[in-house]
Formats: sequence, structure tokens, C-alpha cells
Amino acid sequence: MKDEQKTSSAKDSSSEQQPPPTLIAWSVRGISLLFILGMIGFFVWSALQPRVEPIFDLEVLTDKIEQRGEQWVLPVEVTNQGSMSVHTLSVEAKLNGAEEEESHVVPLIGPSESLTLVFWFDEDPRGRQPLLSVGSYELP
Amino acid sequence: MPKLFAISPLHYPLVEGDETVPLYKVDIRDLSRAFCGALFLALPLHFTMEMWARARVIPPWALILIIIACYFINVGFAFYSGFKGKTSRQVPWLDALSSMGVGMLASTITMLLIDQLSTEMSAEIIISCIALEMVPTSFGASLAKSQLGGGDRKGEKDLTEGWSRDKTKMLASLLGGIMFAFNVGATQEPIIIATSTKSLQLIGIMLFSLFVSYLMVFMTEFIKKEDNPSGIMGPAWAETIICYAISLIVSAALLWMFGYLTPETPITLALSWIVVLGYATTLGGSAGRLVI
Repeated sequence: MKDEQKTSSAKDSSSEQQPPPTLIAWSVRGISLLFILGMIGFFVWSALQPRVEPIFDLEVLTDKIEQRGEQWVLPVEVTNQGSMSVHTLSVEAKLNGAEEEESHVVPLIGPSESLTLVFWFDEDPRGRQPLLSVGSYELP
Repeated sequence: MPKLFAISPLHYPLVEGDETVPLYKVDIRDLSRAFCGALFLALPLHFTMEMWARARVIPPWALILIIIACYFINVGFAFYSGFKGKTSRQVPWLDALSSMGVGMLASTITMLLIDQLSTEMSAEIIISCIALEMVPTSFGASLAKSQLGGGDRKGEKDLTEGWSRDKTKMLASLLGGIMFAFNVGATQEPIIIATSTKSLQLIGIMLFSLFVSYLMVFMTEFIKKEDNPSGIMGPAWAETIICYAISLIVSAALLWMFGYLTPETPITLALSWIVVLGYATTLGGSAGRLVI
């Protein structure tokens, strides 16, 4: 009987607060629950989306091409338009008609994530059409 | 049910020791403790590259399971610690929600300040990062009282009163293992270590884990020995072995959570990863049985 009373007492203690919480405490609980459910809802929606294989959008940021020292900088924005992350993404850049070719390896790029790579060339890229391509990547 | 949703006035006078404090100030103080505890425990993981990377790799359905597991683990922590000064004000099933909310806020602020969240990221990555970093910060919030001290426990009710010895020990092992090994589980080092260790070394790790677990709980006498311990884990050897098994399960769960362990992982590789990380979860589980 004593054990039952102890168990019952412990259960009461764990489900009731004395004194009851203020509006501050209830607000924190309510907002927290809202955000948690919102997060779960978002992930449910995300999980139901069709799987899109990695597709990469490579865009030259023409207005940011500039000369630094004796070399030229070519910034390229890379966007993963697929629904999966990829590891060790290799992006290659070559100037049309020139021998010079540069490559970058991105360790990890997530779904819908964008990042900017900077290629360095000896020649002014503005006069030549930069050729960009994806070399390879590793699926997680 | 009506009692569960009762509200006190903001200025309700609460007697604490020799002074009377308005309840709203106590609430703010408790939430501050939770916030500080969240930042304190999760700091190493906020500064861990693997956490930022894992958020981009873990699939959405896995993140849902992680959030749900995070809630129940926080309930467990709240039973033993919590962030409120007095246990009479603790309601673990609801306090766990507050811990997760506070954890979410703490991790979002930190990640923004260290430039791991930015407007250049997609909504999916931002929410995934916050969800993953929320896990250790919420643990920190739920453990604020035991981490940073505070609260007058004299005469306070024990929320775990009435629990069987077996239940208490198993939960302590589980929660201690999670808390201690979370920092390590996110990193690549256990994977790299497991890849290079040989079979004899893995056996050695297992035996050493069992030995240290027994040593910590039964030989060091950090806590008073029980006379005639009851239950399935009554004998010391039974408790050591069962808690080691729990630690290996925790290790596997952490490896799965961080995306290292998948159904495609070869069993030999998986077992070696689990044993290596199991060393950390065993230490944590043993500490949990001492502290909790």
C-alpha cells in the first residue's frame, strides 16, 4: 500500500505543477510546440516530394569579374537544384579558345544550396566565353 | 485535466527560502538557466564541422524520428534534472517542450553568429541545421540544473520515486550514454578509428569497456553500495553486462542518427563502428548510473 501511495504521489508530482505556471511558461511551451510541429510538418512535406537527381546550375557572376594583381578572377555561382546532397563535387572552368583550365572541388553541397567558387586565370575571361562543367561528384 | 492547464498570475508570490519572489521572475530565471545550460552543453557541437555537414545529408524522415526521440530523451532528463529550482514545479512531459524550444532558439542564434546559417542557404538546409543542433542544446536545457547547479532540493520530492531499480539503472545508462557520447558520435573520428582497428583491438575495446564500467560503478565507491540489490540487474555482473548492451544500442542509434550507419553498411563494418563508439557510450552510461 505504501509503495502504491508513493507511486501515485510521484505520478501526481510529474503531471501537476505547484503553483501552476504563469502565462510566460505557457507561452514558451505553446510556441515551442508550434515550432516543433511546424518543423515536423516541413520534414513530412519534404519527405513526400519526388526525388530529383542532382542537377547543377553554373552561373558566371559577370559583374564581379576583376583583375587582381596579374591574374583575373572569375566568380561562378553553383546551385544544386536536385533534392539530394552530393560530396566532392568537381567543377571545371575553361576559357573558350584558351588552353587554361581550372577546377574546384566542393566537399559538400546540400539540396537547393548555392555557393560561389572563384577561378583564377591568366587571361581576361570577359573577352572569352567561359566554359563551365561538372566533372564528377559522389552521392551520399 | 483542468488542473494541468491552470495558470497562475504573473505576480503570484512564491516563497523561496527566506524571501518571496513573484512567479514571473522565477519563470524568467528558470528559462535563463535552461538557455545557459543549452549553450554550455552544446558548444562543442556548434563548433563541429561534421554537425553542419550531417544536417545536409540526413534525410527528412530521419530528422522527424530524431525530433521525436529528442522529445522523449528530454522527458527522461527532465525527470532527473530539469531547469527549474524546485521539483514541485517540474512537469517533465511539458518541460521537455520548453527545453526543445529554448534549444531551438539557442542553436539558431549561435549558428547565425558563427555564419553557419545565412540567407544564401535554402529553407530546407536552414531548418535541418536548426533541427539537428536543437538536439544537444535541448539536452543542455533539460540538464541545466545538474550541469550548472542551483535549486534548493532540501525536502523536495523525487520525481522518480517509486520507479524500480532496474528501470532507474537502465534509463540512467541510456541517458548518460547519449549525453556523453553525443559530442563524439557526430565526428568522423570513431569511423576512422574503427576502419583502422584490428579484430583483437576491437575485442580489447569491448573487454576494456566492460572493465571500466564495472570499475566506475562498483569499485570506486563514488556512491554508497546497496545492500542486497534487487531486480534483474541485482548482481554487479548482470548490471554491467546489461548496461553495456544498452550502451551498444545507444552507440548504434547515434551512428544511425548522424547518417553513418545505413541498411547498406556491411555488418562487419557496422559492428566495428558500434564497438568503437560504444566505448564512449559505456563511459557515459556508467557516469549516468553514478550521477542519476
